[in-house]
Amino acid sequence: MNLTKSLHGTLIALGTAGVASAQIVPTVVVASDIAVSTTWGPPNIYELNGEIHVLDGATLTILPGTVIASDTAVTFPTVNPNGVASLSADRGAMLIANGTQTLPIVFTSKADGNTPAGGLSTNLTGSYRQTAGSEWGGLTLHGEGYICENQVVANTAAPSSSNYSSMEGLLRPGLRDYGGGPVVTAFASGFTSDGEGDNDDSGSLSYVSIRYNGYVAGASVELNGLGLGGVGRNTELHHIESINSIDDGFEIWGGTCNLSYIVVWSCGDDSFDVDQGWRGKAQHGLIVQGYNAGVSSQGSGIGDNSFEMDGAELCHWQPVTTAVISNFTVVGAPDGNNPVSGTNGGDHATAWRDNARVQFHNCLFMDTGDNVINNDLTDGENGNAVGYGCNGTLSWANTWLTGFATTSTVNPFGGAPELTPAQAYTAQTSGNLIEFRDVLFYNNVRPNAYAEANARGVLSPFSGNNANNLVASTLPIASITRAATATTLGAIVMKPVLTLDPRPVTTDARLSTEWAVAGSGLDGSRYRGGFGEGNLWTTGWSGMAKYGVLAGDIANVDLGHCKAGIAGCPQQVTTGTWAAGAPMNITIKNMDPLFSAGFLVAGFFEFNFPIFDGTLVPTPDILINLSGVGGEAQLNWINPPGGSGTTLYTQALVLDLIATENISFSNAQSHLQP
Amino acid sequence: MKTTFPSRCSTLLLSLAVSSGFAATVLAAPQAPVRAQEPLAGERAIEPFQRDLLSLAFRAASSVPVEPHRKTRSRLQESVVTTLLDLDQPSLAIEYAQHIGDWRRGSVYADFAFWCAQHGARERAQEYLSYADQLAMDVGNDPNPQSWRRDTIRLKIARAYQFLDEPAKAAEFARGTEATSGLAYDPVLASTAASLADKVEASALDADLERIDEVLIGEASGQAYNALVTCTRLYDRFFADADRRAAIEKRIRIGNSKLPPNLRLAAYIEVGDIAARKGDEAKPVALAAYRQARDFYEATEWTPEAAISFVPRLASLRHRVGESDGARDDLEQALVRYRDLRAGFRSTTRAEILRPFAEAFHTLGLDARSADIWALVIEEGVENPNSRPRSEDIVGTCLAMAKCRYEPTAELSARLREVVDGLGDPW
Repeated sequence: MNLTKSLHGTLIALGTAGVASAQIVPTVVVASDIAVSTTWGPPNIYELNGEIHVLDGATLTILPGTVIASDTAVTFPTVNPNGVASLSADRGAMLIANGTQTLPIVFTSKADGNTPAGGLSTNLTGSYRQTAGSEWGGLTLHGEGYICENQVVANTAAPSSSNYSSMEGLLRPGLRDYGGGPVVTAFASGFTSDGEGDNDDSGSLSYVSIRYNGYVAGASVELNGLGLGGVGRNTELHHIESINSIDDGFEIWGGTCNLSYIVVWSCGDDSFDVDQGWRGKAQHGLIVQGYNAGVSSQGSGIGDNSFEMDGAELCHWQPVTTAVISNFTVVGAPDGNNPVSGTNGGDHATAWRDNARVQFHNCLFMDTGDNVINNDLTDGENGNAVGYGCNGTLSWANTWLTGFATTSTVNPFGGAPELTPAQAYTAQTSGNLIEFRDVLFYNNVRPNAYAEANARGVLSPFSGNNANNLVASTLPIASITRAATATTLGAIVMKPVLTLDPRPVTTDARLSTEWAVAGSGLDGSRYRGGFGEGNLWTTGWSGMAKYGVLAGDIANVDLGHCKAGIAGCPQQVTTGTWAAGAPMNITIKNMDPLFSAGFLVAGFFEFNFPIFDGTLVPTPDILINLSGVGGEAQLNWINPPGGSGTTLYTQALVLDLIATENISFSNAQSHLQP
Repeated sequence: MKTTFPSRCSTLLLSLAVSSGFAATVLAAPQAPVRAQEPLAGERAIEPFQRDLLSLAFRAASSVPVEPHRKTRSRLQESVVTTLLDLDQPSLAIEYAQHIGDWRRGSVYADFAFWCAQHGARERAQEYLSYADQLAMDVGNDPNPQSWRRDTIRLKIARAYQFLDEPAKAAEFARGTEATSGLAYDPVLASTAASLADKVEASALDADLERIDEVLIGEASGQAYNALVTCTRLYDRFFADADRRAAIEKRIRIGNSKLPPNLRLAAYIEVGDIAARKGDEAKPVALAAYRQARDFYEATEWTPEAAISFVPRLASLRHRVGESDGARDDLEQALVRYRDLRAGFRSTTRAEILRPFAEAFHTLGLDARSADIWALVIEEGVENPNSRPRSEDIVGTCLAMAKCRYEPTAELSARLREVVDGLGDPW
């Protein structure tokens, strides 16, 4: 690896307790591939000079607080023969980038004035730049999970470990795919050196913020915020954010990776784009549609669909996307001048193609630019006018009526040592292949916004397995403000979101009828949307929170880790000011009403210990009895004096008749005392 | 799994009330007791060199640092333990299992329990199923939806209960797991399904074949694969009965037509291997199967790795049907192709591609040539500068040698140890 430590570095100002000082933060220019495992960490800032690959067998470990900031001036091929500034963990490589809630890892450009530069959390004054984007390339991971790609001649329609695909947008000359072909690099289940296939382990990403990136080399040749090709379920992906990607926020091709706690803000195409047989789950997300910069066309700088779901690359090939999306708050981008009759806003909340099978549970869709559900009548890439029902596959209508266990018999998985359908399609564990349950809609005002939803029985069930879906008449979240005047970008007219507090405020948003059951691979959060009452999991690490656009609350950070009981996950709601001498109230909701009892565990450190089939987050330093009625218990206390700057962690363990081990867990919270 | 509510709650309340003892209570993670184990019936002697290879493999696996490679370390350790069970070495397997630091310990406990069930050690099986269950529960919650880990353990528990003739418990553990997704069969249970073929009476075969027809002619799914596995086992059992053999072979052909090409080829080879083991009288059948496999191989478009990696299996079958010279030539020609294409193969896959060649030369009785290839396998495994892939390759190589009973030369042994001793930064 060719690392050049810049003598000029980056000058940042340090201001602590009124004492100003300055420090040179060294910049490390990364200009060649990483063949030997290495670690990046603060205080260095890493500048990607070209298309950088972590090569097969190597591991790149990035420590908390590390900033990877590329120089826009040398990002693009026109000025840099080394390719677009981007980072790729190739097949067989690993990227381990685990930040923390207070020290995230930031991938951005040097124009970003708000990063934990050098891990010192001092460069935090820059504002969000709505029209910035495409200032560097993007981040891609290549795995070995099964994919479906018909563009490679040797690939078969039935899943095979020999099938492979190339990662779009990576174009540096001189690289080749594992089969010796002309493409740059590949992901597939091919030769799995670890024998794991769909259990592929491409590393671990958490508390990662990816900003102002993207590159459009041509139609469907683009770099996204985070591209995941054939990434398997043994890869850990949570607390990841994509801001102002010029193309998709997240794009997933095949594989079985699961994601949780993700944010997509103002991407230039689809916020969450899946294709080529993704078979995973995503829970807890926030999507805000909008626009950024770039070439300013829809799909390349201007937001398109919130979810674009392609099933297979050719409609009847397998694997086909079969997934679950749960607990997402999705804010669309309507026509800025006339949201009802205008056609110049963003597109659909959910766009459906070529046999995609996705269940939406416990979500909130609001302000959609066009339809909440749209059958695109295409297979996406191959020009077929019928996405569903082609070549013997299920029709669009019947996909809604077919149980999750009825996997396609057209080009199926053949069986071990490949996979059987049962092994290949594990994300859905109940219900129908497509269904909406406990979904809340608000302010989707286009004339046909609900036409397809009604046709499929989403809002007044007459068919399928839809249930508990509602249309709200009042704003279900705490607040949202948009620009007073619309911005015109070519044919598109939008009012960008200026501030957002996504915490639920209405009963329908705060409390769902159903929740994910144990064994589904999802936690049992019992609300509609991405956030629970009074809880934000974005605070501390999300760039949009740091920019001040997304509400933050350092005194009540939601750390998750709930475990459902008879009434879903108990919900911890904290009110009051977390300051010395101030009164506090902690309420635990959704307890087993038979007992309404348990303990609040409070501690000064994160413990994250697996016990009772759950995860105990705080160290058990303080135990406080909880006793209430009707499934709810409250706790009042006065904060002791002193303690400024300390963090307390809390979580309730609740007696529950049906929970495994008869114990349910509330979400954990951290409370930083100012 | 679920205990009586008052007793469990009492335990919890007591634990919580005695706060000074709380941490100690929660830190009592489920683990099988470390105690002298009684020898198990079915434990078989292996050659000292095999034991050395397995020990070396486990040392290599355990040298992988927990941070940041916790998952890789555990996976490699698990691969050693499962190989030990394949070689009927349960005592050493369970000893090594104690060192696995994550959910895979529960997985190998369940594997161990299945081995015990297969070998009549019912009590020991149930003991370890209990440990596995506890570990399954404790891996169930992390920041990401990763319930597949728990479900992997639970399916293996179900497999063991199925073998212990406790179908209700098997169903309980299989229910609701991701991997079953509500389908009737799961491949984790395939070995159980196949083993049931051993119990089929000749008089009941026709009825069983009809049931298999229903699966094969119906939806191609995991059930079809299980039916195919069952047919292959039946083909072996009823080989001497020409009519029944033909009837079973027909089902294999039907099932095979639904498989992707690599599996189809594997099935053709498996049928040939079975016939080849039946002695000289069956040679024509084996030869026909070999030719069918060979024709299919040549007519199919493969990726370069796949094309090369199937040659050793085909060559081994060709050797078994009496064409040893041709088999050797096939191997040598494929090695030439490997060398031509080597630069296009990822460095972490080369040893994996070559290992079957070393095994095949050993099968052909050409141990000098086998030693050459094993040496090449080892060197290809250290081509990558990082110890993570090196450890994966050296573990794989040691396990492959142990499984195919290849005793490495002194020179190879020394090199294997040198590679393991050299594992370290950069990982």
